[in-house]
Amino acid sequence: MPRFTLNINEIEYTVEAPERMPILWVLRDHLKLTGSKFGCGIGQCGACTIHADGIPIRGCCVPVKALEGKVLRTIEGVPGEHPVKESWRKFDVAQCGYCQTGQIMSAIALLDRKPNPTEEEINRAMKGNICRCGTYKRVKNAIEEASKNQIT
Amino acid sequence: MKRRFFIQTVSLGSSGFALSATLPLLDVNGVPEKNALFEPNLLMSLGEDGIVRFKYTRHEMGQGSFTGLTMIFAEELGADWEKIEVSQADYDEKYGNRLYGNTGGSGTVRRMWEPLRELAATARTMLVSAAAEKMNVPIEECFADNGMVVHKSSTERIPFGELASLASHQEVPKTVTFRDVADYNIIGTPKKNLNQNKIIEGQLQYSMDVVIEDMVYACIVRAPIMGLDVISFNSEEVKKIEGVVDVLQVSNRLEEVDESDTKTSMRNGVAVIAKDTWTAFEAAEKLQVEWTNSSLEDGDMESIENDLAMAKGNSAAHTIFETGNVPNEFKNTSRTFSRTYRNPFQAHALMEPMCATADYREDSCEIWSSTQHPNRILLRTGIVVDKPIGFFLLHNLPCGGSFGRRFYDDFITEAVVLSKVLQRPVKVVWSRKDEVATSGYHALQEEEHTVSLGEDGKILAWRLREYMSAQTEELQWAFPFQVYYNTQRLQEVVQVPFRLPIMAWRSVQAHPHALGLESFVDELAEHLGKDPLEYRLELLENQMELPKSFGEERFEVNYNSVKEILVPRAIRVYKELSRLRDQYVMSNGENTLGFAGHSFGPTFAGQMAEISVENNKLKVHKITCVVDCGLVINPQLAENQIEGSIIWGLSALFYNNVTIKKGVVEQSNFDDYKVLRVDKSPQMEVIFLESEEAPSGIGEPGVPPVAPAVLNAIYKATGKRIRKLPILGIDNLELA
Repeated sequence: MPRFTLNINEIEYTVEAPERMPILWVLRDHLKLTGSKFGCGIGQCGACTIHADGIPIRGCCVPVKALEGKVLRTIEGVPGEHPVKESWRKFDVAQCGYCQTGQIMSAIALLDRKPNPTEEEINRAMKGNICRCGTYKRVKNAIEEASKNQIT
Repeated sequence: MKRRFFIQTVSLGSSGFALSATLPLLDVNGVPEKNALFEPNLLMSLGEDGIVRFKYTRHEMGQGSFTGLTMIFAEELGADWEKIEVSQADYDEKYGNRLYGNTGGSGTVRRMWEPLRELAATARTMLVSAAAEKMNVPIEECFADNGMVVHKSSTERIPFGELASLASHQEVPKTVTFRDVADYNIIGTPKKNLNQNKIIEGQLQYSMDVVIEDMVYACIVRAPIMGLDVISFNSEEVKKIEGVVDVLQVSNRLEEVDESDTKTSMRNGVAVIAKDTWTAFEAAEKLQVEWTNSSLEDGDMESIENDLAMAKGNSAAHTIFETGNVPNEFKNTSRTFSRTYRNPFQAHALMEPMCATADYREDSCEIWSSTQHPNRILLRTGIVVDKPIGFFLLHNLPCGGSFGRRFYDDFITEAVVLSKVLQRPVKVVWSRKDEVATSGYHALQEEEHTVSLGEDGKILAWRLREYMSAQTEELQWAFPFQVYYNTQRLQEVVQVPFRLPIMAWRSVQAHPHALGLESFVDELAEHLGKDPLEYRLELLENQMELPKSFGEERFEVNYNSVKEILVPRAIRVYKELSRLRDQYVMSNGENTLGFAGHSFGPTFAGQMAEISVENNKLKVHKITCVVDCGLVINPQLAENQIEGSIIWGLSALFYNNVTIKKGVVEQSNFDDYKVLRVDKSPQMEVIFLESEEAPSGIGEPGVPPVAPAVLNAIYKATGKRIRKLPILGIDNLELA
């Protein structure tokens, strides 16, 4: 079984896994980092969103082999006082919460790239994240709020 | 070890609810134990630290009752909101149906409202009694508030924590008085989802996140058509894949041993057992299964059209509800008005696919999963492995959405059966394809409304005939959640042949009912030259007497609830919608408005949709929802529920459509089973009408009015009446 060295949340991990195994399952089943969720397996719902070198990726579709040498960040690596987490709390966004870690990771990546996104830009960045509880209004409100409170 | 036993208290209150109070805890000699904990009932524990530990005995799936029930309990106890902690109770028969019944029908708050307040008020009375004893003052001079007992005149106050031990020795009161609504300081205030922090940190444990030592992962290739059985499969080849532990056939034994509904139980299939989820998924793709044949293989969308046409020629209808003599009226009538509306099969597409972990041992079986109906699933799973409910210890974890799906036993039975065979913990994980293509569905259904009209346009008789593809059990769902009892009425169901298993789906029958009824009333109003909102109010205000026997116990809808609660609520909601319309017109709003309302249980919700259609491009700008649900426990989470319901309703209106080819569901994931995304989500406003009536449920009532409100608006904007869902693609309609 191939071995991979991964940099996740500023910690170095060595894992043995098939090279085609998507990073999501390495995180969840091997490393027990279960904050990133399985929703669809084909990059349609965004519940598995994590960052690779600051770019949001769908963990269910990207094989572990492709991520060696990249700086990975999951929800567990985002501090509790991060403006996006703070505003998620303020707007009480989550209902069941299952998709929300993916929503938060997409939102952080958006604001890192565009600190003051327009509504259009928010829609474009977030439409890959499905929420069946229907929290979209609060997701948008929380992003707008976090955009105001960012440490620049 | 000391043997403990409980003394049952006397029944309390008019309901005769036995409190199962454990007061006092006695040792083997019958002497009260010295106990620093105050545990006056099965749900509460108070220690010297002053923290009230409360157990949640329902299923949390995002609807917020984990927070809501805690608020109700804290309020009635007079607790400090900052000093109450809630945890999920494992399922145990000791709670009984009243405390740990099913979670569904938007009924958790409604059904727990009385029992929780009885338990909390009893505990409060004992705390007050303990404080009075300690302060040496009469009980009547003391009251509990904000985690303390206060002596009225001296304003001396003792925190709950200091009373724990003494309270546990107080006599259990025979009657209690509930707190006055005017004194509420928790109920009615916006409180945040108590799981919010854990969710944001990725720390809330869902079924998918369970890890048990030595466990293996299972992915099951299920019968693509319900009822098919396995003939053979390429077990040896799949077993060779690295990481695969075993390949096993699973069979639905429930059909052999239980004649009750088996269409929602586990499908026959082949399980691939592996060391991790992904390996199980991948290996399952390589599995080739030969299946038995089924007459359902002839089924495609054309057969469904034929089914419906056949059913319409068939007069065998089950009468669900009848007042007067409608058939007789139709024989003599010269003027009828009739329309038919279609609802397709719809999948749940909940975010967290089903998942269950079981550890089956000789003397017990531990289960980690999420279920809306623990009693039912354990009973039915127990039949399969021939064990009583008490054999199982179920950890009922919060889930990533359910919407009716987790009422059913299949995924839990699978884990139990596999763990029994493998003699080690097994986690069964459904893929998205499993969830969309081999599940149960919201029923395909046609609603045919026909009225006989007098010369003056008065309705003389009203017949609703429903054509449903449903297994027999679900016919009971055909209860009319309606409010217009203004004429003699006949409601019938004609069963259309079984094509797919039917399961509860957010708002269940209220969804097709509202689509049909609320579109029809709009069409009828136009036919009669009346304003749609005024016409609804006219129908509501001219009700006939209902038979006293009217109703359906399981939906808590009866003569009184319709006459005393629902109809007045519907009138209030439509009056508020009229006011909102006037306001919109006054403000020169540019968009087209459509209206609809419907009940779900005793809650009534009405909606105003603001839309525009240009060159076949539809934009839903805003949906305003007016709700009368009695007392609102938590305005924050109640508003979330209505917003979520609107999004749910729009997904169904725009996209949701499960189709079959050769008996097999054609959709498999979010690419071909589309749901609403953020970019098409409208503005929303939620208005709760003020009420001090008992809270009546909020999880589903926001769904049913969405489709008819938007369709009524589309008609007004375009002159085109759409009578079937989903609407995108009909006459080239698309979203702007």
